[in-house]
Amino acid sequence: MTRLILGRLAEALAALLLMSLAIFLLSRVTGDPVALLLGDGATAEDRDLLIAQLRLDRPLWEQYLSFLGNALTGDFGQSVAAGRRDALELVLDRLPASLSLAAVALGFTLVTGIAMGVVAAITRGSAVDVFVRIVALLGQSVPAFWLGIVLIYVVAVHWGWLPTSGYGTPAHYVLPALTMGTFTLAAVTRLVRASMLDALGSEYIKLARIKGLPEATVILKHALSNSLIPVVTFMGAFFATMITGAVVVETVFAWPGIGRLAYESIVSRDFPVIQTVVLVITACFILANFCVDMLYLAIDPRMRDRG
Amino acid sequence: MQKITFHAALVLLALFVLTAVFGPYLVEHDPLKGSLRARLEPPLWAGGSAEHLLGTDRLGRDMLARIVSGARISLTVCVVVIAIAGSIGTAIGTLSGYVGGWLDRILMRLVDLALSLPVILLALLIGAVSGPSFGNIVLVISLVLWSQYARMARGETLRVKNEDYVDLARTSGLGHVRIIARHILPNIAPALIVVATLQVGVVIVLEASLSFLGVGVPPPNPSWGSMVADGRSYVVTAWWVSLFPGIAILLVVMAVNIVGDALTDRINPALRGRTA
Amino acid sequence: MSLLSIRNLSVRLGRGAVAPAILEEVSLDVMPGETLGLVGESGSGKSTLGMSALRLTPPRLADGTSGEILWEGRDILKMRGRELRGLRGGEISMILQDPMASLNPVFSIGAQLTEALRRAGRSDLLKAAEAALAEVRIPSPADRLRAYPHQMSGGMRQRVVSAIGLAQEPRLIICDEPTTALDATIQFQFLDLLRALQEAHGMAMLFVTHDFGVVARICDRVAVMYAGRIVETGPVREIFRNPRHPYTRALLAAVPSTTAAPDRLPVIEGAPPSIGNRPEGCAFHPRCPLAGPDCQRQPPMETLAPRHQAACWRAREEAAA
Repeated sequence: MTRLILGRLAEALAALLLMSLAIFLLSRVTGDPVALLLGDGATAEDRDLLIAQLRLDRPLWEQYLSFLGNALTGDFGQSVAAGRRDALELVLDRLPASLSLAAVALGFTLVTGIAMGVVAAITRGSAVDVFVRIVALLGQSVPAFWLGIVLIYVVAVHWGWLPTSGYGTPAHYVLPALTMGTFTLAAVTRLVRASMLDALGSEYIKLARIKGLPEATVILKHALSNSLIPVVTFMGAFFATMITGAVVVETVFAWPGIGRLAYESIVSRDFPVIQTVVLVITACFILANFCVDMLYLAIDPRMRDRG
Repeated sequence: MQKITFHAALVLLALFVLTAVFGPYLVEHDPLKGSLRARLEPPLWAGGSAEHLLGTDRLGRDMLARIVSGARISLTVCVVVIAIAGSIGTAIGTLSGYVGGWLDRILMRLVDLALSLPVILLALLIGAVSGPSFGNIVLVISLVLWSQYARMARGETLRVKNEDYVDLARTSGLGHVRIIARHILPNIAPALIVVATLQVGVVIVLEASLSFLGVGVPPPNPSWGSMVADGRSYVVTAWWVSLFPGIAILLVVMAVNIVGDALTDRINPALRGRTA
Repeated sequence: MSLLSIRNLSVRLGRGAVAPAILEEVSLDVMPGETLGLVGESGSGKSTLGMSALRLTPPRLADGTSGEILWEGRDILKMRGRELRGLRGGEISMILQDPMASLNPVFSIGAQLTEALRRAGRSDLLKAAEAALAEVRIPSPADRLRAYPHQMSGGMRQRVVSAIGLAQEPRLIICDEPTTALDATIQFQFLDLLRALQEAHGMAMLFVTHDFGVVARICDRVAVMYAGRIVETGPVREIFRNPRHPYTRALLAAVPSTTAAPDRLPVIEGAPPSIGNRPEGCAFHPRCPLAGPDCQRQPPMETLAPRHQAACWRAREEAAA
């Protein structure tokens, strides 16, 4: 089993390296790297300094190595737009806001999605089931950026129940988390419903009933434990969706996180910051996937022997 | 009840395609030309005129015309992306499944790697470097989607490869290319069609999201996503500019999902609810 | 005094007497300590009969179920919630057909076993679980407690399922084709184990199968089913020596023998009717070599010899002669 874990770790590192390579190539190979990294208003001195620093006159592979070297020491360049602040510092500053929002959205998604999926499966064919399925269909079809705008207009402006944007109180979390989690909520609901229906029709559930166990135990202990496995399997895909969601939602709600930072830096063509944002998000994403892989190993005993 | 929803969804999809193909010839206004005098006019039922049924945007461009053109953009992107991602993905997956061995292992590693990266970020990066463009959006969305085809094609090829009729073809001396073309591809096609159908919704939303952020379809093309972005700053007063394109996206994607689900049920019930 | 008494049980796909029937007017008794075999082809309704005793049939069949299933005088079909659950496991238990699917893949063997033992009120759970596994002849039982279902072979899994079935010391155990999914070599081992367990615990067994060989090995009495009805019952020896219903005769004749070597295997012409397509009167008569015009009327189940009953006009005539 340690081989399995080490293998996954190696894959994670490989993925991170691949992403860094992609970013590196993008910045060096397309157009003028100096312009990208320094922006307009760079003096000849700045140019020379940069060329020396990044060894832009050396062969590509050497450049990549120094790129990596710099990255390991935390040097990702300086922001072109925000007055020469260190790019990594800028990004790490905004990271907590994004992580807290993502955590709230994920929590909301999982709890509500699993509950709805279970209820729909148990009451299969009833009005509740139909309702849940309609909600899930809508949730998977509505674009997050539009939903956010509509929610702001209706809930915050029209009804005045919640703040329209910004950060600070728990109330500020509600609309952004809701918007961010909607698509994944719908997907989880459908997944859990399908898995539960499968599980409930299986032989081991019959055996659980034969043992005379209370119905709640049969459903929540025996059926649900098997149904959660596909949810874990899809976590990776969910995270990817949430990243897009983060950029869009933070922009719409003016949330001071790295998603919004990414958007702002696109608008202001601040390449060093974008580059850093992308690398940091990728690292988080890969880390999250790794954790999910480990979780999967923990809950499905069949995986441990397979490797 | 389910049949009604399915047929309604099919009708909606047909409407979408027809609008995308023929719509721009039928609307009277030019989606790209606006008149400053007609800025931010509300739709007909909210105090506007019959001249602009769905109102106008901040440059006086007719909303209806723009939405119709937006349909064409969405459809075009869908078709192109799915064609590219589908061909490449299917080719890689089929080859991988058919040949097996080390080729299979390498290609599947590649797929795993591709899946473990958030490719959206690359879109943002490319957008920042070279600005919004059609090429960017097609490239990036294809990068996101191709691996699903590869996985499905490989799985299906492995299943079909062991069927008796393939053995028969092999013993009758058919070359590999003929076998793949005549026996394998037609039999893996249904599952791939299901994948494609389910992806249409994803493509539309992705394209809209990227355009919303400014790294997708370049202005002044009326992508539904950029239309929503346009109307964002005055959503309180001129709500129609952001609302209608969003509703268009919602309706089309809903219809796609309904049809896709029905197809999944028909072709492979084991996948039901599992395509996230 | 019978342990389980099934009276005129009918299970139909829908309400009303004309709805297609899976089971029709089935009456059966299981005595304490005996092993009753229930033999029939696929589609004869034997599995549904087994499942009905614990109310495990699909909910959509509930409306079309009529008759009584009496356990010590109480009607199982009328039991609710807690009473029914008390019955399950504690009084009546069941072994299902597919050992691969019967055990929950995410819990260990020990966990699933102790779950049943806890319901039986045992306190020394680990010891009891170990003893239970030892009783079903699983080697190194202490280690096996931590194992998972996918790590065991089909035969071993089936033994674990038996251990779970016995954990609460039921008085009747229903076996739904428990050997069908096992390798031929393991089947007999498992049957011997079941027999030994039954003798040790003194419980009754209702054994559903399509295999007469299994019946011969393990059953005391046997009931033969065709198209949702019971057509013959009697002691095993008696039935083998002197089958009275034409269907039973045909079934026994179709069993290949290692001594006699006919030119062709005897077959029963035709196929069993599907649900909803049952003929008027005796369901077997279209395929029966002895059929006559009176077979359009359903023959009643009659005692034709000591403890030997059959539902057939010809059999009745033969017995009278």
